[in-house]
Amino acid sequence: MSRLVKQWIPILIATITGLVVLAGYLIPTPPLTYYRDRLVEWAVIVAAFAFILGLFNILRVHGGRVARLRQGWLYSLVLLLAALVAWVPPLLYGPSGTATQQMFDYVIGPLGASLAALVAFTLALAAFRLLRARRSVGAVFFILVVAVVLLGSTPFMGLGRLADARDWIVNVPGMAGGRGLLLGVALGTVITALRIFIGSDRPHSEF
Amino acid sequence: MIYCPKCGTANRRGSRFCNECGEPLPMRTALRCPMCGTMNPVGNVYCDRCNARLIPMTLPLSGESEREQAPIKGLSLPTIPLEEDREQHVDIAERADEEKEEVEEAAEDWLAQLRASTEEEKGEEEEEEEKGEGEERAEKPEVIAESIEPVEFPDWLRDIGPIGVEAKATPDEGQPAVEAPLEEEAPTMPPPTPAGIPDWLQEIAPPEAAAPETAPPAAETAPEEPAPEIPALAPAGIPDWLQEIAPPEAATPEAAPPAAETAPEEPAPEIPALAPAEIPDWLQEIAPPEAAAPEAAPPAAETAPEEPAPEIPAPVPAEIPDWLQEIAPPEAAAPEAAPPAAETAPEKLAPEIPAPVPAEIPDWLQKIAPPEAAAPEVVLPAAEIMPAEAPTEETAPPPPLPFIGTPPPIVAEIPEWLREIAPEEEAIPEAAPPAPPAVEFPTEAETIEAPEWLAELQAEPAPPSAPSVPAFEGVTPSLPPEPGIGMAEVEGLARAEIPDWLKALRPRPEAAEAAAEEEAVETEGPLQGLRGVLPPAPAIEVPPVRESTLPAGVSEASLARAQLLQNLLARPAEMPRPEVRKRGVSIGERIQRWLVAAVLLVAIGGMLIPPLVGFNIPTLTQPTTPPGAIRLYNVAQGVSAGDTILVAFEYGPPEADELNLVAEPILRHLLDQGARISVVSTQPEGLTVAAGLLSDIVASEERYTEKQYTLVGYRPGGATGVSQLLTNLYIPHKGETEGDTHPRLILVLTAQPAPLRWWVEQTRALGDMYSIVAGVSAALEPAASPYLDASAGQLEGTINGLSGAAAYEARRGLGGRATQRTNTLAAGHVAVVGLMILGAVFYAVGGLRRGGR
Repeated sequence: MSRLVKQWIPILIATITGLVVLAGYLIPTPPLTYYRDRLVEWAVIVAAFAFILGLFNILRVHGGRVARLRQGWLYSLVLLLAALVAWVPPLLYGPSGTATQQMFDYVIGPLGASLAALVAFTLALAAFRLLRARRSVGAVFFILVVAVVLLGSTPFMGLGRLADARDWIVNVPGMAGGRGLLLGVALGTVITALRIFIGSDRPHSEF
Repeated sequence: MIYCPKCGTANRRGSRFCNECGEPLPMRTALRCPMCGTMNPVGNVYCDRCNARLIPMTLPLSGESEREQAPIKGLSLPTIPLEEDREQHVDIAERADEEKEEVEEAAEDWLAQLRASTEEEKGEEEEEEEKGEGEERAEKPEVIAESIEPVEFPDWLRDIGPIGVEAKATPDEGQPAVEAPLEEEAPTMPPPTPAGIPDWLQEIAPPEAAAPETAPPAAETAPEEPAPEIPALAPAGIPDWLQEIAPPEAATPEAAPPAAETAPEEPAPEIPALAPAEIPDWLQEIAPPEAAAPEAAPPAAETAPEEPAPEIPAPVPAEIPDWLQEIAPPEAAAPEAAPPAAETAPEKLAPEIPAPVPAEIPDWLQKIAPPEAAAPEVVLPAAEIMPAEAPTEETAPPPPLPFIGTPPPIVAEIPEWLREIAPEEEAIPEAAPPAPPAVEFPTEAETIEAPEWLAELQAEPAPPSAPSVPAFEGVTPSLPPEPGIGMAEVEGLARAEIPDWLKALRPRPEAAEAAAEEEAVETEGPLQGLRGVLPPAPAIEVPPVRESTLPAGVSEASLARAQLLQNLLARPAEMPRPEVRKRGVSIGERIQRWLVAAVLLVAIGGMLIPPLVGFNIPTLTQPTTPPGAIRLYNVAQGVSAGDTILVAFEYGPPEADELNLVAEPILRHLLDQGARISVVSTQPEGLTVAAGLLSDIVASEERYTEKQYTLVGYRPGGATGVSQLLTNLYIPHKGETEGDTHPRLILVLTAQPAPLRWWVEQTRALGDMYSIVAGVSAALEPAASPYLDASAGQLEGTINGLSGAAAYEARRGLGGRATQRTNTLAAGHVAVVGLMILGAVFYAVGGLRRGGR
C-alpha cells in the first residue's frame, strides 16, 4: 500500500497532468484548454508556495547553524539578519515604496555591481595569464578572436573593419554555436518531458 | 596398489591414470585417517598414529566420509583380490587364538606343579623370616612357598624382560627365553589364569616342568598381546636351575608342557621365536650351577609383568634354590624341604646385589615379598610385590614413587632374597621383613653380578625423605641381577651383558632424589605418605583468577596498532575538515594583479571621472547600426498611443547597471509614442528594479506621467507562470476598469538566457498573437541572435548591450547615458585586449627561455 501511494500515484498524477497540458497546447479545444489553464494555474500556485518553502528552509538551515555554533555560524547570522531587514520594507511599503527603493538603490544595487566588477577584473586577469597555462595555437587564436570582438564592439574611429569582423564572428560562428546550444536544450527538454510522462524519470517521487 | 581418489578403484602401483574412470592418479596416494587426519600409506589398514581403522568395514555414513575416503570399489586389472588380504588377517588371528589356547593348557601343568612345591616350602620359610626379620632382610630373600597368586605386571617390568635379546642357545639348556614386552601393571591382582602366563615365562619354562594339572597359566602372556611363535622347549634344553624348581613329578623332561613356548601364540612380530637353546645369558647366569639340572624349573619366577603371576607350583624343597624359595609365597614355601640350592642361591647372590636401604625398597620389589613374610598364612601371588610389613600410620614407609620408566631405587623394605645377594659389607642396618619375591632367581646367583643400580643404592643410603617405590601390585620384578655388581661369580655362568635398554631403565638416584624433593607428600587419604600423587580435582572447578596482563610476546607493532585503533575509536563522530594548505602568493602574481587593476582603473576611470568634473570627452567610438536595433526601432515606432506594452523586467540589481542603460532608450521611445507600459517579472526583484527605472524616467521628463506604467506583479513558476500570464492576460490600467488589456508588444529585458527562452517559447506557442522584442546584455547576444533570424520569426528586434543602446539612441538622434558610456566601454575593451596581448607575449617569451635552458 505504501508503494502504491509513494510511487504509482505520483507517477499517474504527473503523467496525466503533463499529457493534458500538452494536449491542450497541441489541440486547443475548449475542454482541453480549460483544463490546461487550470492545471497551469495550480502549478503557479504550487511554485509560489515552493518559493516560500525555500525561504523557510534557508531560515531553518542557517538558524540551526547559528544555534549549534557550527563552522561559519557568523555568516549564517548575517544572512538571517539581512533577510529580516530586507523583508520588512517591502512588507510595509510595497515593492515600489521609498524605503524599498532606497534599500535597492543603496545596498543591494551596489553590492551586485561590486560582484559584477570583480567578475570583470577576474576575467581580465585570466586573459593576462592565458598563455601561462597552455601555450598552443588554439590559445593564440582565442586571443585574437577575443581582441577582434572586444575592439569591434565599440570600435574607435577608423576601426570600422573591426566592427564588420566582429559582426561576422558573432552572426556566423557565434550564432551557429548558439543555435546548437539551443537545439540541445530543446531536445533535452522534450526528452525529459517524455520521461516524466512515461514514468521513467520521477523527480517527484522517492522511488 | 594405488587407489583412485575418485572412484576408489585399485590400480597397479605406478599407474598414472585410473583404468576405471580415467582420473589422473597421484604418484602416491595415501589414506587419510578419519580420526586424526594423518596420512597413511596406501597399504595400511590401521592408522599408524591412532590405530583407527582406515578402511571402513561398512559403507560410510555421510557423503563427506565417502568423499574424503573413497571406498575401494573394485579392481581394474587382475590383481590380488582385496578380500584375500582381509581373510589372511582373520586367519592369522584365528590361528593365533588356537595356539594360544594350547599353550595355556600346557603351561598350566608345570606351573601348577611349581606352585605346589613352593607352597610347601613357604611354610617353612615363614618361621625363619620371623626370626631374621630385622637382621637378615637384605641377605636372605625368602622363597615364596605358597602359591603365587597371579598378578599383572606393569609394562615397565615386562619390558625389562629379555626383549630383543638374542638368547644364546646352549646345548644343555634347551629352553628358549622369550622376551615379552612389559605392559602396564594392573592395579589389581586377579588370580592367575591359564592365559596369564607371560610369554617369556612360558618360553623358558621347560616342557616337562609344566605339570599339566597344576601349571598355572601365568607363564602365558597377556591374551591381548601377540606373542611370537616359540617352539616348544626341548626337555634337554632346560637349565638345571630351572629344573630344580620344577616339581619332582614334573622333572621329567618329556612331561614339560610347552606352556612357555605356547604362551605367545598370538602373533607378536616383535618377540623373536627363540630356539630351545637360545636362553639369554642373563637368565643363564642367574641360574644356580647346581640347579642346572635338566629338571624343568618353571620360569614362573620370571614374572610375566603384564599379567597376574602364575601359580607356580611349590617345587620340591630339596630342589628349590634359596633365592627362588624366597620368592615363592610364604605358604608355598615348604619349611622342611627348603632346598639347599634355593637357599644358597640367594646367598650367593647376596654379595653381588647390594642390599638396598630398607626405606628404598621399591614397591614392586616389596610386592615380591609378602608384607608378613614371617606369617605363613599370607598367600602372596607370585608376581605380587608386597611391602615387607603391613604399613601402618606409625611405621608407614615413605610414600613410594609412581614408577615411570626406570624403576626407582629401592627405598622400602628390602626382601631377604635381595639382602642375600647384596654384598656383605653393605649390610642394611634395618631388617625389614623380607618380601618373598616372585622372581625366581637362578641358584647360580653367586656368579651373577648385581646391577649397577643396586650397587648404587647400596653405596648411597637413601635419605629419610627419599620416596619409596610405590608398591605395584602383581608386579614381579623380572630384572635379573646384573652380573658384576656385588655378586659373586657364579660358577659356570658367563657374565651377562646388560642390554642398553636395561641400562636405560636404570634409575638415577640423583634424579629420583630431586624429583622426590620436589614432589609433595600426600598428607591425607588412602595415599597418605606417598609422593607424586596427583592432586584431586576440586568438586567444583573454580576458574582461576588471572590478572589482566598482556600476553607474552606482544610485539611493539601490535601494541602500536592497538593504540591506533583505540585512538580511531575515540575520535569524535564529526570528521575534521582536512586542512587546506594555502598556497602562498608569489611576488610575480602580486605584480600581475596590481598591473591589471591599475590598467583597468586608469582606462575606466579616465573615461568616467572627467564628465563628473565637467570635462566632457567627445565620443571616440564609431557609431554602429546593428540590424536588430533597427528592427526594434521600427517596431517601437509603430506603437500607437494607448497601446499596452508588456515589459518583462527579468533582471536584478547586479545587471541593472547595464540593462538599465539598454532599457532606458526603448522605454523612452515607447513613452514618447504614448504607449502604456505594464511591468511584469518572473524575478522577485524585477519589479523593484523596474519601478526605480521607470520612476527615474518619468521624473526626468515632464511629459511622462506615472499613469503610463503599471506594475502588474510577480509571476512565479518560470515558464509556467509566463504561460499562465499569456493565457489569461488581463492588464488593468491605472484608473481604468475596462480597456484593451491585450498587450500589443512584449518587451523582454534580461541578462539570462532562460527567461528569454521562456518568453519566446510561450509567446510563440500562442501563435502570432503577440509581437516580442528583447533588450539583452552584450554577453547574451550570441544566445539571442538565433531568435532574431528573420526566417525563425521569433524576435522582431533586439538591442545588445551598450553598443546597441547607443546605436538606438543614435538612431533616434538623442544622446543618452548609453552614448556617454561608450567611451568608457571602449577604453575598458582596449585595456583588456592590451593586457591579454601583453600577458601572451610575456609568457610566450618566458616559455621559450625556459625551453632554451
